[in-house]
Amino acid sequence: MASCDEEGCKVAINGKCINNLPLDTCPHYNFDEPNSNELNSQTIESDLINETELPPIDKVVNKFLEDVVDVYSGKALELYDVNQISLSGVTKLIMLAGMPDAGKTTLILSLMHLFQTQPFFSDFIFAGSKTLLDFEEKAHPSKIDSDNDEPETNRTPDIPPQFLHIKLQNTKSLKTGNVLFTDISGEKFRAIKDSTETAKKFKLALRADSFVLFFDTKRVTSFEERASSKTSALGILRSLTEAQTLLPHTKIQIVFSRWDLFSNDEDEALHNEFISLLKNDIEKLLKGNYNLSYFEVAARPSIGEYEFGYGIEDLLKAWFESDMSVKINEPLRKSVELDSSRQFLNYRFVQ
Amino acid sequence: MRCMFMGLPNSGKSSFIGAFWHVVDSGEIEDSYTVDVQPNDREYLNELRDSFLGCKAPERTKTEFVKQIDLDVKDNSTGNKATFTFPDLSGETFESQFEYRKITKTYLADIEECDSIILFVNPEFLKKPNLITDADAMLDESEGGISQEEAEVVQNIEVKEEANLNTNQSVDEASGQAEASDLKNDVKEIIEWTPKMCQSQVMLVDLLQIIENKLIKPCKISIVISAWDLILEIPEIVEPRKTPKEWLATNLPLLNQYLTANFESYTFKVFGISAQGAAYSKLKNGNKKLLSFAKQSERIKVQDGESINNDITIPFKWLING
Repeated sequence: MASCDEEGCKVAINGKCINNLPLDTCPHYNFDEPNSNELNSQTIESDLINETELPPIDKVVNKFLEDVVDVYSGKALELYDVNQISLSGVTKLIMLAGMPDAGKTTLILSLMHLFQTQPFFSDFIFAGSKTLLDFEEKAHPSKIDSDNDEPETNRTPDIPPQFLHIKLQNTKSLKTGNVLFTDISGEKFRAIKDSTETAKKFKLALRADSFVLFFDTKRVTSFEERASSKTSALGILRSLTEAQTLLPHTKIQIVFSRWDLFSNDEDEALHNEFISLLKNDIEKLLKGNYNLSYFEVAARPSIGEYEFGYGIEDLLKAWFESDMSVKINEPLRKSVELDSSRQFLNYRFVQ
Repeated sequence: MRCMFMGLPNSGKSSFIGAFWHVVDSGEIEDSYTVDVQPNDREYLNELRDSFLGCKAPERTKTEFVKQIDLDVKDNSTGNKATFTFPDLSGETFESQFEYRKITKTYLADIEECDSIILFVNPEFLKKPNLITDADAMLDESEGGISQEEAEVVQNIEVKEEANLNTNQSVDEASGQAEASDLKNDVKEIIEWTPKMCQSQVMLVDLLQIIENKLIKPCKISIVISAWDLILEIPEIVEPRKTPKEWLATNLPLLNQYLTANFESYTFKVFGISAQGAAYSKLKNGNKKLLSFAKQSERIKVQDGESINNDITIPFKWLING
């Protein structure tokens, strides 16, 4: 019987790899070798069947396959697909970075949810997405249909980088642009933090328009966890800047995620002091060479004083600052593609 | 004019066609289209019309059933003539395209000749993006009125919570261990995701994205919000009256934004249509009120902007005349 050494993988039951890998490429999957008796019986059976005697169902399936064409999968994009998108128009790459469970995927899902439930969001409307199915699948554990008691977001598996895509239109300028979010596992960033060699190989960061580094507020305001949380996230930043895979053309945005969990108790002043020191450390590390900004975000807050998607609007505006701004006297109802003559915006994505 | 009828299962396409055929064939509505030349094969149209006239829900269109309908019509108010050609695909066909990410070559060929779409949406069968946090918020609102939709969500949650409680109680009784077995059985598996669980607006946007590059542009889309009688029946005190366009912007914002942003590919208009006039009753004499109209066309309700009339051909008129 086929089996898998990866913890939590149910491939033996449902045939599906927990990391979404093809079974013949997954290093943990164990193919079951048929024994010789089984082989013999299969050989005998195949000798009895020739093409003209194929069961009708196979002919029907073959005919069906001749009559259909595939469309795009709707799932997360790989490097080849994003290069096609970047050739079609101005494309921004937003790289979300941070340790596992920092809220990276939840932020993207919450942004999409805002477009799905409001007539517009900030100054933008939704203009399309090649990864709608992936958004829906990833958001499923946070929906009533999942039968979950509490909203959750599954951890991003440790696989080669994938991308989620949204196309947006600015409601004032009518300019449209593609936004690609990297969906990279926290484990990958842990490896980058721990190895200069790994950081040097992370060439995708060279193309990032924004590098969004997450600090989990719950950890940052926990005395037991805040020190390691700080050093881990700063370690990622330091590793990439020293390896020169994060260059000054990339905006760096520091997000304090899960801001609704900021503990407003008697230690509030101490937490604020720690955050202040953290910001100082970041600024020292970057030495004024980068466009740096800070955001407090509660992408999917628990019931309380914060509205859903708190802080995302400011982040969205920062991603598009000075790019999709209003042009005075621009005629209405005329689509304007952003100027794609800037070479950098047409750079291919490389891994 | 080559038009594609699109819509998910239960979106109201068949009811619409039955009512539409009755209107154009009977000539009961003065300013509507009427049939100029009867189509050779009218069997399918007449079946749907019979369902309409008998106040019976039409049979579900089978997935493998693709009927091409060709209609030569004349606009009674202007005298202009038009030919509508539309393949009638089942809602399950569109759902399968979304789920399996494949389209037939025949469909592709039809789309490449299309310059217009009638897109059907049924408010009764919309899948919405209901977050767990939305339900929590609704449960927290213990005073003040909640909408019927909110009440249904709350009821569903209460039913599930009661089921979980009963399960735990029976485990307690069986094992005789109170807290330990409760903790053990608190770990439960979530319902696995399938594409069919996607929101309706996501499916509709994706179905349009699939064909966007193949359409003759700009493609005109008449969006028909079917079962519009249900919306008209909502008291204003519960929900302020909305035009069909406003309803779309509120209830299917993603679709509305997508069509608005891609105005070079699509021009669209939204109509609220009750082809049946009201929900059909299965009780004996339950449809008496609907059947009492001497001209059955008059029970149809069509809202275009603020105005309401009976002319179910208006979405077609807009496709032709703009």
